[in-house]
Amino acid sequence: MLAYLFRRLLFFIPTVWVVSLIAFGLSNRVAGDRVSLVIGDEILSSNEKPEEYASWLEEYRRIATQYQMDKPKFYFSILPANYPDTLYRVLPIERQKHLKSLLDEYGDWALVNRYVEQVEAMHNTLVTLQDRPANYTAMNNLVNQLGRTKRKNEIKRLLDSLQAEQSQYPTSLLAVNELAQLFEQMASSRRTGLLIPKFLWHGTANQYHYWLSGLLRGDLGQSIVDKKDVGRKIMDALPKTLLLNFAALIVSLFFGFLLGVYLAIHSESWFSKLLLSKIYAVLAIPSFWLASLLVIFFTTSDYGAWTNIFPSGGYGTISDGASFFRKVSIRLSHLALPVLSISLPLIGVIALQLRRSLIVEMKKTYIKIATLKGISRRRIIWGHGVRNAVFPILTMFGSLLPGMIGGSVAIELIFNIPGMGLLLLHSIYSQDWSVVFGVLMLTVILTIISLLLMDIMYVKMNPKIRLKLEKNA
Amino acid sequence: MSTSPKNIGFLRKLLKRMGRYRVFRMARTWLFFLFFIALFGDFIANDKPLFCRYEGGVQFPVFQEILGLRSPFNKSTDWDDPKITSKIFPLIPYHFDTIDPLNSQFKSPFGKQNISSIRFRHWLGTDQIGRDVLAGMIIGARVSLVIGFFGIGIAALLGIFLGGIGGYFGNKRLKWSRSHLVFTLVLFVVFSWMAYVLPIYFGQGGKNRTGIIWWVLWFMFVVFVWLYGKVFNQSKAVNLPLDWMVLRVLEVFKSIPKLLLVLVMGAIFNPSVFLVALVIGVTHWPSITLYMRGEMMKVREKEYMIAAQLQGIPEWRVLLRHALPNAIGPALVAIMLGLGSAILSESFLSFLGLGIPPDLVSWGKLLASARENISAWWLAVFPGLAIFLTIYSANRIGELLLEELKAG
Repeated sequence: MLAYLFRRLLFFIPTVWVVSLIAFGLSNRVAGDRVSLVIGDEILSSNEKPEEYASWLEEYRRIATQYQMDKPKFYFSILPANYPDTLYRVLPIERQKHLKSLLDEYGDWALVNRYVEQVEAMHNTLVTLQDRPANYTAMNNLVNQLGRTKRKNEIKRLLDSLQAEQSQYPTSLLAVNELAQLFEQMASSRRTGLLIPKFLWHGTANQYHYWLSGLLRGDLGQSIVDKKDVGRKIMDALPKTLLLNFAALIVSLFFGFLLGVYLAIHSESWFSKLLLSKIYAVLAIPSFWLASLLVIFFTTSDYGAWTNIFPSGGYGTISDGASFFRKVSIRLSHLALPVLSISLPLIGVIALQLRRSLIVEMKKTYIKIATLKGISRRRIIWGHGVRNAVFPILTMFGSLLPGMIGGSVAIELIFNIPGMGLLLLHSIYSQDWSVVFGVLMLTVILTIISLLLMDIMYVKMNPKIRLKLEKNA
Repeated sequence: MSTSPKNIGFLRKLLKRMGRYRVFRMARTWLFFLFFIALFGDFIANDKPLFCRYEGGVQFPVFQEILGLRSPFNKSTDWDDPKITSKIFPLIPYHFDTIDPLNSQFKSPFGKQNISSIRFRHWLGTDQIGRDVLAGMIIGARVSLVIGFFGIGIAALLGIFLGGIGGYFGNKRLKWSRSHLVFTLVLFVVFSWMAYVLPIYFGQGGKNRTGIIWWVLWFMFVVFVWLYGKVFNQSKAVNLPLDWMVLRVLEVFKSIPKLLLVLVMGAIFNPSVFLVALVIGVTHWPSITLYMRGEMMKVREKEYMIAAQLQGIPEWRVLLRHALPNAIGPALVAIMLGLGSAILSESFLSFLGLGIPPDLVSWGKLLASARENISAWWLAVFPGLAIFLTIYSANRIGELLLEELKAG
C-alpha cells in the first residue's frame, strides 16, 4: 500500500511540473508589459520632455526589477547567433521589441544598436532645441515614426522627407546624413547570423525559477489591480468555492444514491422508466442556463409574490452578533440556488452510474445467497449491492471534480458569489495575469490531490485491488 | 462487440438500425434542422428583402450580398424608400444586429409591441437596444455549430490518432532501429530550429511565408526520415513505449479542469472562431483517446488481426484498414458525447464574454445578455433551450450508439 502511494506521488510531481511549464508559457504569451499597466506608457507615444522620460524610465526600471522582468525567461535560451546575449535586459519592453524586429530585419547587432541610439539622440536634440523651427511638428512626427518602423522602404522615405524638411534651413539641425549612411550600411549587412543557433545558459536567476520557487513557497506574486498579495486574494476566495462545491457534492451524492438505488431496484416499473428518460434530459442542461433561469424566476416578484423566495445573489453578510441559527439560515438562503444548479446534473450522473452497476451486481450469486440466508432486503441492497456497485462512481469522481471546479465559474458569476471563479473572471477581465495563473495552478494542484485521494480511497475500499497490491509489493 | 471484421459500411447499417428509436429520430431531425438554419440563416432572418423592384429593375438584395454581386444597395440603404417596391422580406425581417428603436428596452414576446403589422412582430422578444432575439438565435446557430463541429473534429483527429497508435502498438510492438531513432530526433530538433528562424529570415520586408515554409519543412522531414529507413536499416532495434507516452500526456491533461483551460486560453488568444474551435479541440481529445485506446487494445488481439499480419500485409495497412475500422465504434460514442460538451464549452465562453469576436452572435452571448435585466426571461429561456436541445440530441445519439454497439 505504501509503495503504491509512493509511486502515485512520484507521478504527481512531473505532472505538476509540466502543468507549471504550460502555465508559465501561456502567461508569457499574454504577459505583455505589466509595468506599463501599472504606471502607464503614454509617455512613449508623446515624449516631449527628456527629463520626464528619464524619471519615467527610472520608475519603470525599479518596478521591472521588482517583477524580475530584467531576468531571462528560462534556465537556458537558444537564440540566433546574431542576437546579443543580454537582449532581455533592454528596458522598456517596447524598446526591446523594436530592437528585436530591427535585428530580424537587418541582422547586425552593432549597427542596429547604433542606429537606434542615433534615432533616439536625434529625437532628444530636436525636443531640446532652444528656438523651435517652424516645421517642428512635422519633423518631430517623422523622427517619432523613424523610432517605430523597421521596413526598409519606409525608413528610406522617412529619411528623405526629413532631409527635405531640414533643407529649408541653412544650418543642419539634425545629423540626418550620418543616419542615412548608417542605415545604408545596416541595410547591406549580412543576415546569415540569423540561421545559426546559439545556446545560452542562464542559471537559476531566471523568471521561471523565481515564479516556480515562489509558487512552492506559497508566494504567488502581487496583483496589479490592487497591489494585494495573490495568495491572500485566493485564500479569501477559496473557502467560498469549497463550501459551494462540497455542499453541492453532498447534496448530489445523497439524492443521486437514493435515485440510483430506486431506479435499479424498480428497474421494471413504469415510473422508473419515465424517470430514467427524464434524467437523460437533466444531464444535458447547462448549469449556467439552469442558474440563469433560477435567478430569473425565483429571486424577483415579477411572477407573483410567492416567487420572490431567495435573495438575488451574493454570499450573504453575517453581522457579528448573529445567532448560530441566523447564520445558518443566511448561508442556506444564499447558497440554495447555486447548490441546486450545480448538483442537479450531478445527481443525474451519479444516479445513472449507480443504476447501471447496481443492476449488474444484483444479478450476482452472492446476492442470491444472502437472500436465501434470510438477510433483510434493505441490508442486501445497501450493505451488499451498493457497496460493491460504488466503485465505478469512485473512478468517475476523478473526472467529475475538475468539471465542478470549472463549472462553478459561471455559477459564481451569476449568483455573484465572491469565490475563486469570480476572482478568476475579474482578473481575466482586468488582465491581472499573476492572479489568473495563480488560480489555475492552485486548481490544478487541488485537482491532482483529489484525484490522488480518490485513488487511495479506491484501493482502500476495494479488497480485490488492495490484496493484489500487497501481493506485488 | 462482434468479432467479425467490419468495414465503414457498418456505420450506415448501424445508423439505419438506430432509426427505430423515436428519440434518435427526433435528435437527428433537430441536428439536421440546425444544419439547415446554419446554412440558410441569412435567408430566414434578414433585414434586407429577398426580392424587390428598384428603378425599374428586379433585385435580390440578400443573394447579391452573400454572393458579393453588384447591387445598388449598401449598408445604409433605407428599405422604406418609396422607390423600392414589391418587397418580399424573409420569414423574420430582422438580422441579428438590426436595431429596432421602436421596440427597445426589452419587449416581451407576449406583450404589446410597437409594430406596423404582425409580419414585423418580434416573436421571441427584443433586448435592450431593440434587437430581435429569434433573429439572433437563427444567425447564432451558425457560430455554435461551426465551433462545435470543427472543435470536436480536431479533437477526434487527435484522439483517434493518439489512442489508435497507443493502443495498437502498446509499449512493445513498435520497434525502431536505434540509428533511425537518433537520426529522426536530431532531424526533428534541426527542423524545429529551421521552422523558427526561416520565416524570420525570409520574412524580410514584412513578407509572411510561414505557412509555405512550414509545409515544405514538414514534407522534407517525412521524406528524410523515410529515406533513411530505406537506405540504412541494419542497426539494433529498440522498443518505443508509445502507449506509455500517450498515457503520460493524458495524465497531464486530465489534471487540468477542462472548462478552466478553455476559459484561460479563450482569454489569452485574440477572439476568433478558429481559435475557439482549436482550443476546444485541444481540450476535448482525452476522452476520445481513452475510448480509442481501450478498443484498439482489444482489437489487436483478435484472430483476424494475427491472420492479417501472417499474410504479410504491411503494418500500416493492417493498422489503417483492419484495426481502425473495427476499433472506431467506441470512439464515435465519445465523439458524439464530446460534441455536446464542445457546444457547451463554446456557449460557456461566449456567456462569459470571451472567445468569439464582438461582431458575431452565438447562443451563449444571447444568454449572457439576460444578465443585464433579470425581468427579461425570454433572453435566457430561448437561447438556453436551443443549447440544451442540441446537447441533449448529441448526448442521446451517443448513448444510443453505445447501446447498439454493445448489442453488436
